[in-house]
Amino acid sequence: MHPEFNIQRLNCDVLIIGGGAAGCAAAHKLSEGDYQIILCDKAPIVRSGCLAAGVNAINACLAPGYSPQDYADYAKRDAHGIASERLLLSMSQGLNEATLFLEKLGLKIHKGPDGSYKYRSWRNLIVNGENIKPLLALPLKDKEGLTILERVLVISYLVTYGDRRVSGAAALSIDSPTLYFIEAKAVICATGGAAGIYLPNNPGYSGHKMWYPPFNTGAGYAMGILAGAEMTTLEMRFVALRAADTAAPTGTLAVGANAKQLNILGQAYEAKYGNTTSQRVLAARKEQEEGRGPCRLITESISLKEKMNLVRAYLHMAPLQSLKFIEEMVKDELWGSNLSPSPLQVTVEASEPFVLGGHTAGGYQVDESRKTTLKGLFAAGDVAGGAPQKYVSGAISEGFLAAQGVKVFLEENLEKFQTDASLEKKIVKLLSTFRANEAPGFSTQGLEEAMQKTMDSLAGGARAGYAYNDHSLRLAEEGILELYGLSGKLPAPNIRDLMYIWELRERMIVARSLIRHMAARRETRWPGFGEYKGYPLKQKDYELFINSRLLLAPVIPPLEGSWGEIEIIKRDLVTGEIIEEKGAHEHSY
Amino acid sequence: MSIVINPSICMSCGKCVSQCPGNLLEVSRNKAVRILNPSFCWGCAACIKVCPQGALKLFLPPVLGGRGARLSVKASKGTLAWQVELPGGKKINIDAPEGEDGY
Ligand SMILES: Cc1cc2nc3c(=O)[nH]c(=O)nc-3n(C[C@H](O)[C@H](O)[C@H](O)COP(=O)(O)OP(=O)(O)OC[C@H]3O[C@@H](n4cnc5c(N)ncnc54)[C@H](O)[C@@H]3O)c2cc1C
Ligand code: SF4
Ligand code: SF4
Repeated sequence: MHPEFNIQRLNCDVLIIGGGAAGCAAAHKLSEGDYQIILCDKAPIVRSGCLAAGVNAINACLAPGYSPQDYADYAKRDAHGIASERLLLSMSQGLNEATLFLEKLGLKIHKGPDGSYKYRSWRNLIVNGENIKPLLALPLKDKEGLTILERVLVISYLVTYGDRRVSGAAALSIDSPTLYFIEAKAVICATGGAAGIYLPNNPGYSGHKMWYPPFNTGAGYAMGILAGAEMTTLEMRFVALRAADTAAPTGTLAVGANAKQLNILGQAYEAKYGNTTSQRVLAARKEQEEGRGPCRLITESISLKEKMNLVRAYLHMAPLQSLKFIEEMVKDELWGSNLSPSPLQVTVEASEPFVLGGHTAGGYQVDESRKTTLKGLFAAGDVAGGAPQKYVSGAISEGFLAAQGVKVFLEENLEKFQTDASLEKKIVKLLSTFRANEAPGFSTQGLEEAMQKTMDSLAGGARAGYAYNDHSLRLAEEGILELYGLSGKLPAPNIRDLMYIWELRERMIVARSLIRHMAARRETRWPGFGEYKGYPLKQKDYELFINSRLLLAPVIPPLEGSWGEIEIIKRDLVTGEIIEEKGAHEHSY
Repeated sequence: MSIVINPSICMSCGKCVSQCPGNLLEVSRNKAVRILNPSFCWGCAACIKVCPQGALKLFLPPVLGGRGARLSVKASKGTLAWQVELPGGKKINIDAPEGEDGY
């Protein structure tokens, strides 16, 4: 075969791409049946993905007396209406099952003296979850019928001739020049969302100290876009309101320790902006913009013992925030002496925008069984669209739904299929080109920064105040296409370079679809997450889904030049039916 | 963002390598572990939790408010014993016990 790559062909019933919360859940469920399964992750699944550092709450569950409908209503309201009630309901029906599943695996959930769960609110349970990922992942290593490939980066789907059934994926090992071609009767994509599309909040050396895992680079979106899958609601970007510097969550202080969110004048400012997620982000940003920031989350005066309880709680999910608390306590000379109680506080800050279908709703268009618009392909967790506010339990619930969907699909689709053989050749050729490229006078990192700056300044990043207009979006798309062209010249002396180039190009592919989605929603629905200048308000006409699909989708990205025209599809919020399909050429900014 | 590696006590066992969600750590024969690209580190602490030698620590760079303290952790009897070492050498132990921690 090709001298540069050792090619390995594998075969299975189900390929799961990504062993995070959703992928592991799907693997647990499917391994109860008699299937040959391959789970492929770019990293070791014991700590890969969002859950690496741990969690200290299950953010989506139903306390006694609350129903899946209550959760769906809440999530839809929080998304200002742009969410699929059917998807939310099916996810919510599995939230408590996901919680029980985690507890059975050994997750320590806080309980009252009578053994009942201690709820932080009707949909939130406190846990000691530092080890949630090992608990979820390690038992999979002993499952019969399940092969786990780790440190193997999936780079593209494989599809069949003609009807474009997804029939597997190509993947690249980090440790050896091995290229896998994995054929599967069904594929579940669970690669999480996309970080690193916008310029990170923290500079240079600390650029990866961001809220979302920098290693989730939107691969699943890019592969889906290239294969012609329909994507939904990418324009609902997520901007996280988190502790400044460490990007640690603030819920433990706010809900757990009753901390107040105050501006620099000591005023509680949040109520006047409203209480949806995007309104809370807007609140902190506006206070800052208008000279009343930075805003802080500050506890009552509490004792050293109480402070240490908070420090401990943060060790379960954001250990660097614990370190920061201690450094600050030392600076204030609180440490060691028996000083009277004083408050503990963090500065809150809005993050760079991320694309994900876990907190917001951007991702694959799926049905209740988490089937995508491509035959044979399912999606679950942050990569799946339409159902926001999933969190860890919702991602697990969706993993279970996708596993069930796959079971039914395999029963109903027994016919033989044949993978398009030309794809393999194209992949090898493309990879070999990067291997052979000469240094072009710019680097992968250089192009990454250029892409991030383009998105930041022209497509509503933090430094642009999250604002954009028709003109800036057009320039952003032109910029991304130009940078993509340049990326075809990047050299990959070793496999890791190849990986980084591939992931950079995937983010550009996601960025372009994101820009088109933003341009297609001519309103400002979530002002905390972004503001479309010229269209400052919510519009009744936009109570619909903005979806997109690539025409003449190439599956394998071209070395240079455009990868196809993007068609915008508008779908009804309730029925999901197509309201309007706009050919790529009719589209204007 | 990065971790601090103490090469003199690393035994090159490779435990940390198989934890990193970004595949950033590497050991080659009898050489201390190294981080391939320090600026790629997420600061998740997965690596420092498994090191039997305590050769890995976390710190906050000054730009994130760090002032020289280091965070380390040792697994013992199923729980994690965390420690912050201050620039002057003073050590603060924080046990994160299995039981309830109040929040
Ligand atoms: C910092 C942080 C803290 C959070 N805290 C909480 C909390 O306290 N409570 C709560 O309920 N929820 C929390 N969440 C949300 C929750 O963790 C996520 O919703 C959930 O993990 C999403 O699951 P997922 O499977 O979609 O993605 P992930 O769990 O991120 O898994 C994605 C997987 O795909 C792999 N992958 C990506 N690309 C490729 C590729 N090309 N090839 C192969 N593999 C690939 C990754 O390595 C990873 O293993 C938190 C999220 C973050 C980011
Ligand atoms: S802290 Fe996390 S991201 Fe950084 S090297 Fe260790 S395991 Fe990898
Ligand atoms: S776990 Fe510790 S001793 Fe083992 S290779 Fe890593 S740093 Fe060295």
